[in-house]
Amino acid sequence: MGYVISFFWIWGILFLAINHNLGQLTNIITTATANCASFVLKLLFLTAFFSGMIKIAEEIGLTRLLSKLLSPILAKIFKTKNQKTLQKISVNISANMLGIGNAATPSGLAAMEELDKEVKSDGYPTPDMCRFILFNTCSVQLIPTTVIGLRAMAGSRSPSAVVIPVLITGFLGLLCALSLCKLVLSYQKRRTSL
Amino acid sequence: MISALSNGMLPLFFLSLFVISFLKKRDSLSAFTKGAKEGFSAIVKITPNILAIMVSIAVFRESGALTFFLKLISPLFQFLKIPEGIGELILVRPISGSGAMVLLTDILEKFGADSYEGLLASVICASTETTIYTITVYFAVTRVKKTKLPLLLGLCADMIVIFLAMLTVNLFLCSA
Repeated sequence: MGYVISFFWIWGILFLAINHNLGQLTNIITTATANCASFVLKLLFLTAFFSGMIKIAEEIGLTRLLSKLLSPILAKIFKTKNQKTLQKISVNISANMLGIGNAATPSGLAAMEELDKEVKSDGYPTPDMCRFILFNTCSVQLIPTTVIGLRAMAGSRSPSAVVIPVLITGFLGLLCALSLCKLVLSYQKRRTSL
Repeated sequence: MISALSNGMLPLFFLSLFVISFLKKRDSLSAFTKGAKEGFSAIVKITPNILAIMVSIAVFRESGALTFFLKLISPLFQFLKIPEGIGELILVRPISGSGAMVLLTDILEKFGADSYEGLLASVICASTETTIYTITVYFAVTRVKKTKLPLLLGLCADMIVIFLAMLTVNLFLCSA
């Protein structure tokens, strides 16, 4: 992201200079910081509220239930036979589905470490790692709380109208990603065995 | 039908939370405050990032640089039938979650939260992740050095999701 910020500033100031508008820079900055103040304040309380609700879900065992439901499916998708790894994978994925970012990352990193331990590394990612990464870069969210909140803040008539489309899009996206992964991996295998 | 189902999910979720915690005799208030505390600190932690992103985007946009660059890539977007208004969001989404949040809010305010652009941006934001960031962080704990394949797969998947989002938004949200 550092590169992107530099890119924005360099081209921004260059264009201000071209348009003889360099005097505007301070105005732009003060308007932006004021906008930031109100945005962060709203976001702060919104996120805190939803994190609170999600925490209730966690404490009554919803994450555990979800990961129990998911583990038979995941055992078919991932080739690893290590139960500990599979368990971490399913905890990570169910936390992601419920939108608990701070619970998902630790279990995700732990699962990656386990997957890394299982093979003699040659510097290339294993098929299981690729699949697991796709589970984490495609997002299947049961209730996308942040987006719903941002929509409500922007004055939507029905902020949660996107819930089902998001679910369908995320699920189909993940299916496509996993099939693409399978296709690419089998192509690679065939090429190396020739 | 779909929108009724969509709108019912959140209330139903909240209702079941409180019914179950009541039946299980759990203290829902202490759970809530614990989670809210985590939520506060999570946002406070990324506030510097949000500030940096919001100011730099403002400079980039107000200077006229954004219009210039969007004009450069607009033929590609037109060819792919992606509305130009969400171009910036698509480019930033894989790199930065807070950046995407800022841009989504901009789109929702500019086009309206219930416009085609607003709905599409919402669906895309919710069904993708910070792909490049995630891959960097996750592979950092392993011995894997060659991350080109997962990176390509992840970004391809993001592209697929954008088209799927256009499909679902057209089908479920904009047809009525």
